[in-house]
Amino acid sequence: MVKAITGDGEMCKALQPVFRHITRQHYVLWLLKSIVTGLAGALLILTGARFLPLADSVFWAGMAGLACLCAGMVRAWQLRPGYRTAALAADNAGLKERATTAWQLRHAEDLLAGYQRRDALDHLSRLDYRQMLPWPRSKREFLLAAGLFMTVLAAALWPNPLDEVAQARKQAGRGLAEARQEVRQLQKQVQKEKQFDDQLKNALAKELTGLQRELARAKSVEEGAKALARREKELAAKLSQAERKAGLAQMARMLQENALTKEAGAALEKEDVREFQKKMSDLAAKLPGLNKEEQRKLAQTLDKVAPDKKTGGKQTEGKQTEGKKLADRLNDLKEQLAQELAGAAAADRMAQAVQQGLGQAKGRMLAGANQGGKNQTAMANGGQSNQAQNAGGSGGSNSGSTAGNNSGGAGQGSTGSTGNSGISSSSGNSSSGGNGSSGNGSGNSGSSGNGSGSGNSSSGSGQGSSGNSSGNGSGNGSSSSGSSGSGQGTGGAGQGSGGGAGTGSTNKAGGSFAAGGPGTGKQYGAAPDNQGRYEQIYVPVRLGGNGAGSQVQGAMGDSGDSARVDLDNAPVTGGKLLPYAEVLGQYQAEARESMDKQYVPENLQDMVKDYFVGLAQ
Amino acid sequence: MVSPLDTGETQVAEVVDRIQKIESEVAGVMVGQRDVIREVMLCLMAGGHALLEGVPGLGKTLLVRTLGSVLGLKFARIQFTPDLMPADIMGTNIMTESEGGRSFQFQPGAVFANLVLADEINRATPKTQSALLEAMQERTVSVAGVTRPLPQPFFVLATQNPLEMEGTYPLPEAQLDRFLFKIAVPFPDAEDLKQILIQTTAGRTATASPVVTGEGMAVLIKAATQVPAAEHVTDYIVRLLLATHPEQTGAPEQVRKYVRYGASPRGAQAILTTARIRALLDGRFNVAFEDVAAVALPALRHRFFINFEGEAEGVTTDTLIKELLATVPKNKGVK
Repeated sequence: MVKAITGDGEMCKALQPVFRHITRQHYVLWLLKSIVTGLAGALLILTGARFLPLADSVFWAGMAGLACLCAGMVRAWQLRPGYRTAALAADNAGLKERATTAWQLRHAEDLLAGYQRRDALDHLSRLDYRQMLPWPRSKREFLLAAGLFMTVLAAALWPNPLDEVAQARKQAGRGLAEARQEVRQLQKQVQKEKQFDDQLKNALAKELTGLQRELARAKSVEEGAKALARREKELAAKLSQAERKAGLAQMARMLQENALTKEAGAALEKEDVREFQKKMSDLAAKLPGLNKEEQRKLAQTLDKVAPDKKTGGKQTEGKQTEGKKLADRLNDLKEQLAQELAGAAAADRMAQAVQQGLGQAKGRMLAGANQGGKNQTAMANGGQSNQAQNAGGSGGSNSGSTAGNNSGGAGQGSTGSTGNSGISSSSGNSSSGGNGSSGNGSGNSGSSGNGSGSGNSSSGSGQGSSGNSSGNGSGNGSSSSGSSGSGQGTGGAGQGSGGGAGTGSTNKAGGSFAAGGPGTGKQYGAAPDNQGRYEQIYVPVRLGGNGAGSQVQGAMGDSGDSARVDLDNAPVTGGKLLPYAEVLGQYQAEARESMDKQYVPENLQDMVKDYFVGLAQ
Repeated sequence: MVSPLDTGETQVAEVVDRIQKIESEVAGVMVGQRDVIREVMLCLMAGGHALLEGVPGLGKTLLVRTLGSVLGLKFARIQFTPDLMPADIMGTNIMTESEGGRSFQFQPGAVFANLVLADEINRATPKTQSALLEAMQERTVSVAGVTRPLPQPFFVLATQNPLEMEGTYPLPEAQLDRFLFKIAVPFPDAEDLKQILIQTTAGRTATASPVVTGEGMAVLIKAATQVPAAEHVTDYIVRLLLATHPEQTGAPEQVRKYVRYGASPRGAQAILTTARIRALLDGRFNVAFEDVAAVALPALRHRFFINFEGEAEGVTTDTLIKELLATVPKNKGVK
């Protein structure tokens, strides 16, 4: 009698070579399939990017390929063969179900199961699995993979015209997101500010929440910038300290009328909270030593500054009581005015933060949109490449210009006005003892004028207003010396036929140069008609004319030095709008003159003529 | 040499050896017809009855007679005619006279044998046919209220002539289902026919020697039925059977078009039982797909029926079974 044996371990050992063989085959085949799938996915994305703008399409194609590959290998692992599959494979190689039956009965102990297992083990040991289970022919898959790879490579290397559009959209999206982040920071700041009352906090929060919503809904950078500008104005209005400061200034003046409170008044005028509190505390300390007349005058002064509601301004009887009352009133006034000062300072800070934050956000958004896309006028391009590098001050050869200077706090440039066909420009300069703030300039134009604005500040961002009728908006930003700044021009939209352009310049002396950003214009030189033709075209003007050297006087810098700098390319200023036909005629005349002066082959001359004929059409 | 066997590995090998000897002894008498001999052996080893169908003169009777000699079994031949009565098959009580007086004594019929050849079974009346079929199913005979067991082992090898169907009584489907195998006896090829002529007209008669006794046969049968079948092989047999039913979802188009109704579960039993034996004869201790394919035809061809359209187009069950063997998947869902 043959002793019955169980064969779990024996079967596993006998099936091991077949198992390893089919496992290798399994993973290699799946790898091949995954590569083909990955390449197909990458090709799909690259092809799709030729029809719909997709930023970083090559990167996403690569990611898609890798994802398909990983997914394929994960699936391969999930479907990995087991010992039963190995037994099946061995049976398919000619074992006539010996292996699978033995595997199924590996735990059985009866005699016949044992005989069967032994028979199966014997056949397994003699099985040449390499020959009986050959690698499947995958020539088709190899060829497909090679073909796909070459196609993907070609699609990736061949330039895609939509890449720039996609990049512009991406930059715009990023700009909007950054702007939303700035707004969130401001929201937090508002909530943290302890000096604001609830009414102000709610009003600011409401504005900021509204701004968040608008930015979330904004479909383009321009929409976002408009929303920022609008809300910035609203916030500035809410944070306006004009009344409060006027009141504090009046109180300061009243306090300075009295010799006792003069120093405190001076501190109040300077808005120095600590100094003011110190002086008031000193005065309170001196109170017992004051005579009646001094106390009476002091009480009068206090009445003027802050009338006593309880007594209606009348003095009570008793020197002791009066003295104590005065001390109380002094203390109350000290606390009240200190609070007012703190509130004013907080509002100032918030206003600055809002201006800085939203202004930077706006600037970044617009700069990013211009870097990524072609939503800019030729003028903006020209403006960018012709920015006044290391020129002294900002160039100007404009007539009828006015300049407004403000000092202290945020400076607002005054507006200039012009006649019917003039150019106006305005520039706002601000300087403050503490922090500089951005200057804003706005220009208006007449019926066919140009408006341009430029701001000079430590962190300048000039904004040009829109031109009316056939006006042009152009913005220039320039930074003063002593601090780094970035000048950025935002050309306003010209209504009707407006153009936008921006130039940047900086004062070399002491300041670090920051390039002026490109200008953006909502419209091209003139609105094209329904066939894309322009009636008028925006023509830049080089300072000093063409070719001849000239001197341009710039504004004096803070350091008081002046320097003469020779430029290869004269800076370009905002030019004028001229009829297209006139410009074309001038251009054509210049070309003809140039061809007359030098030898140009006849066929090239014909080409030039055809070119101008085409432009005229 | 005949001897009782037990089921050790050596004994199993002896069983196989004996069976192969039986086949070779029969082949010594029968010219050709190797497949028929093998199928008959499988059927007998499985303990079932076989229906042999073939034109006259192919050696059906010779085959059964030779088997009887080789297996050492008592052989009986019943020629079925339209006037054959059930009592002729089963036996009857007859009046006998002895010293004690007259009494009824049971006279066993022809069916009381180990190996019964029912020649041209389709010529007898349904009543007579059912008497035999009852004996085949129950392995007992009831006469005058007394049930008598039939000898063991008990095999019926029935024959029928596919020609001359006029005036015959074709076996009903339910009765056909009792036969384990329906074996088609083909006409011999030229080579075999030549050999037949040489062998049968030379004045010499080939004889076969006994190889195993009736008891030995029982042991053989017991050994053969213990051969294991893997689960996916059993699943395949089930799928094959279900595919003969036109209403089943996995049935091929031709089955849905030409089959009236499909095979009974006895068909699957017949396949598995005989496939085990075939595996053993092939030197294996497990059932393989090729065993199933080899026994599917004789096991199923008489168990499902062609509809009128199929008959008109000349579709046979053999054609459909071959179609099923080619289309039904072997390893469906196996990992």
